[in-house]
Amino acid sequence: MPGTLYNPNNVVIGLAVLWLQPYDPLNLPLMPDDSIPLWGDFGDPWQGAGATDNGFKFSVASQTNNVTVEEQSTPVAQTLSSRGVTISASLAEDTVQVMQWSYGTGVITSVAASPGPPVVSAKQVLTFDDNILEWAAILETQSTSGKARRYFVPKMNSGGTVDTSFRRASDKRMYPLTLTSVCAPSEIAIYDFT
Amino acid sequence: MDTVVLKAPRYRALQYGDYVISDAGTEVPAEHVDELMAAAKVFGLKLTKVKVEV
Repeated sequence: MPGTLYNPNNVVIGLAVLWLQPYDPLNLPLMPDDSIPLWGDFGDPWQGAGATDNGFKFSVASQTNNVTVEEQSTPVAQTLSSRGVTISASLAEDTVQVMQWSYGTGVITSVAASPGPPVVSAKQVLTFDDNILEWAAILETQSTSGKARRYFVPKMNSGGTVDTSFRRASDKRMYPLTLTSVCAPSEIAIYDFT
Repeated sequence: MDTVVLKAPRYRALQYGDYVISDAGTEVPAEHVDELMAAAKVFGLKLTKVKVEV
């Protein structure tokens, strides 16, 4: 009886949202309060990464070594040589903050307006530097019980190749984001609320 | 003169007049703290007081 062998309610479709905050070794990132419901506001210092082109992707890539013996064709064991955890997306909101997340470099200086004379408009300036920025990230989606599932990675580097096309009409501007985990595996956790 | 060290969030800074409040912290006169906090709020920035010298 196929009906007793599977549970269609465990099949879930749906979006995820990404929350980011700068990683600060002197003030380590914490999970938001458990009482915050699915799609709730995590509050300062978490910031939502906003809209994307095709949603977010959470990837775990394990590289293994096969241990073999001459006497058989299949491995006798596998060991783990590396494991990469990444969160990626093409961010679709064209803001200076999105550029900083995507490029993984720089400081945003917010310059207040001056009444003048001469009148100077408020502006934001993203200045590049030689550092790779570090972020804490939470990817939130819906659990099988309709509550929150939160993927917490406390320390990730942003960077990689970022291409943004400026088109007259055919598509929006997008900023590819690739966050790579640089914390201990034991610090990465998935909280599934039931 | 009473001074306060104000700090911007990491990877952010606020320039207000002659002051540049960095994420490493910048010493400012205590009488200007409220004004700087208000200026930061316009950009969604939250400055924190890390040290008060009297």
